[in-house]
Amino acid sequence: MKILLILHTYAADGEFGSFALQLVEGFANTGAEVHVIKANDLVDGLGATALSSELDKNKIKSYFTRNKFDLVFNTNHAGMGGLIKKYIGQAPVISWLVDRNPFLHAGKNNNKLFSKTTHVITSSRANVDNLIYKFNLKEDNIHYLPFMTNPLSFNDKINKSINICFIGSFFVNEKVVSQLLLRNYKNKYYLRVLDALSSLEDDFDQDDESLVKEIGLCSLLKKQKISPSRFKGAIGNIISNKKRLDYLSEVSDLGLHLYGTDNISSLATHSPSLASCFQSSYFVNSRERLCNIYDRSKIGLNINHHQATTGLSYRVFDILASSALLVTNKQRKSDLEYLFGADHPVPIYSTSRELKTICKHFLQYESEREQLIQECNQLVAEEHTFDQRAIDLIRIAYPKFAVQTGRSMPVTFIQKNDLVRDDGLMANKRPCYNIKEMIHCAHNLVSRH
Amino acid sequence: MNIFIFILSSQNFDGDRDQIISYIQHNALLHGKFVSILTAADIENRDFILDNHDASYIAIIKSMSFQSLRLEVLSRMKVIYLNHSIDAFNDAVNKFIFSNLAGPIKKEADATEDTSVLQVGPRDKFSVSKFERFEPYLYFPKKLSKPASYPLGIDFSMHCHSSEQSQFVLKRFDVSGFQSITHMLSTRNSMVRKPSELGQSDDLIDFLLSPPVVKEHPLDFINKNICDSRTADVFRSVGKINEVVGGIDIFINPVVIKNISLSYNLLCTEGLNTFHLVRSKLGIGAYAKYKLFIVGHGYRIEELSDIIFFDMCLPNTLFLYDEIFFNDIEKMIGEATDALCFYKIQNLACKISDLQDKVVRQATIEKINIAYSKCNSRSIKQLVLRSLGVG
Repeated sequence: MKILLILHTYAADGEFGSFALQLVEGFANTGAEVHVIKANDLVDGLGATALSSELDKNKIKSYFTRNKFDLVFNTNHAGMGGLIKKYIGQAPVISWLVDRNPFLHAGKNNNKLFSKTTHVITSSRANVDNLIYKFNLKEDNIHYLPFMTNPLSFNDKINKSINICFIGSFFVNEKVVSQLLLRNYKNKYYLRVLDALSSLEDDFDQDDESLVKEIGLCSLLKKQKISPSRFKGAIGNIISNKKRLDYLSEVSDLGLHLYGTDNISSLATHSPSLASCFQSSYFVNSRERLCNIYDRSKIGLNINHHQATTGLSYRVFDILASSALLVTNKQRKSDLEYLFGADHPVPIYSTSRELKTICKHFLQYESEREQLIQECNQLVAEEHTFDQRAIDLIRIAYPKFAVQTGRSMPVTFIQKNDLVRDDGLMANKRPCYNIKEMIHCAHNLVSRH
Repeated sequence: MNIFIFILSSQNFDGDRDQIISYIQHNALLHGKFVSILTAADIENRDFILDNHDASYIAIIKSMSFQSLRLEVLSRMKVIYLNHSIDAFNDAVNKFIFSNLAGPIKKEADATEDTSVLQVGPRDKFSVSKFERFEPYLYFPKKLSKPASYPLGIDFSMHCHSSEQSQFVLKRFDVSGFQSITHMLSTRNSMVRKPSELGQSDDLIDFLLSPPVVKEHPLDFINKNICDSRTADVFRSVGKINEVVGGIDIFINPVVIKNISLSYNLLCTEGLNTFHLVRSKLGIGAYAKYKLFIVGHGYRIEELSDIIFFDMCLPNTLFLYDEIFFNDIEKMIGEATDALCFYKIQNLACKISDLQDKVVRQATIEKINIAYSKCNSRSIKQLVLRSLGVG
């Protein structure tokens, strides 16, 4: 089995984060021969609507001629346009929409974005219907698969020095919505924008274009050059911020440690007591650091991004695998119940008061906490690992695929020079890596916390 | 400093001027001092003997005619300004400075007891609060007895937009500095008016000494953040308040909408739809409509003094102040502060609930009005005594 992985990265230094690298390792551990192309090398920016004009047709043709892939896997449908699409030929394609919506590298036309041989993966069950509707997909071609974790990266022997931790972001693109409100204060659009906020708070899975049409915001957004998806995305961020502010403020006096990007510092103007929980000296830029925080914490909080709707983030799986107790917010029709049954052990809160009560309780009663942590660890120990998820993905295209136990192949990372014009194809110099070493060296955490 | 000049702005004191003058004269005479009633022109033309050993000499200028005063005369006086509008005073002095001074002059820091208080750089705008020898005072506002008809108004104006202001923190702070500032912001129980109030924290001192990266004084930054976090606390209580008093009128400024993640609950909660977007400070007319008004968090002391003046003018509106302003208000009106209504965020809804009772409300208003009237006369007396050297 020969598999091509086309993976994107958001990291500022352009390197893959630990999530991507562990996924690569998962594929390599199946015994398959794995090639990796960085999607960012194929496009002029991830927001592009076509592949880069710098790509060298001959190099790509030559590469795909020499390498007949049995399966092409990508994240967010990255790089699936133009030349790449042409030379992949009839090989099955699996596109995992880790960010809910696909990149448009194959063009803007939703109906033609995915070919008939493409399998689309989403990690939110509620997003399935939305994707079918939006991209005209067949039910057989869309699959729900949750995220996963690596239980082996946690260490339960570390002293618990943190009561409660939250690793996440505060999103600062409120301007799209606030400017609309300010410009239209007292006119009909002001209330319509507020209606959109309420409507999306209630149901974020609704189609963005239908929503703006229904509420009567089409012309306003068009005039302001704001696409419905950008508008919806900004609202998702605002609602997420609001939830995080409300919930985190409530437990800021219980020994909360906040970790994340610099954006969290903007809480200083919203809630100084919460901002003072921000551990700005400890930037979570590697999996080792992430795991270390959960290992040192008694409780790991989850407050999902609003766009996750029913879905579970990477954070949920990581905390479930760690020695911290996951306490998570209530999600309507949550995938948590779907995956682990209604009697799962994870404490869930619906309000900020409930969150505080739960945290106080489990900080006080250590043995109860330890018991739940053990049960949580069991939930993800086997079925929700990177290795298992790689097998699940391959079996979508090849149901009878058998793992070659104990055989982990070297992974071939294709360099940008091998894909773009000017430099010659350096077939002999193409680097092969020991994926385990690369994971160890990974500096950036791609995980979308 | 042996000459004290009381400057009465004729603009706002027409009705009370004679009363104030006679009150000052009376109190001065009780201490064997003579009070001159002068105009600005009198001071200019009269040959003052500015003898440092001379006894105190009180002069009253009937109107604020700075233009006719010579700098060297004005600079040797202690000026006590009687009016409610500090902004008007600042403007008048600025006009005077800029129309009379051409070249650069020494800054305030270099001034000694014998040199001019008006020694500000030509580009530094004069502000009363920077100069000890200018003493702004609030007196005798005219009461507006218009009935208040609406139940509750809240001023939610904010100062900082998160994504812009936080960069200020990030760029200037190492980790410990960040922690210090956030800790200080979350634990302050009064506004920070002098750097020395920040305590001994090295991080905070570093903060104050480090070069500014935004066009803002560090204390302004701190106070803005203190105010905004207090406003955010009131945001969070608005649901409870709405349960106590139906039909709240909410005043917001554009910054509130810019901080929509924070104000989301406020803007989107059903039943809280009486919003007034105001792009400048609230005027007295806005306060006058309400039986009860939760005062906003203005970070400048001048804003607060304006509101105190409105409070004095509006006997039918009960003003509710955040307790963080207690010290500032006490400096303005002394003991009368104790009569005003202050709230802690934890008891805001309860306080409002109590004040819904007509008897309680009326008793509170009467107490406040009595305190304000005592404050006026007592303050004049104190001023006179102080200027005579016996206060």
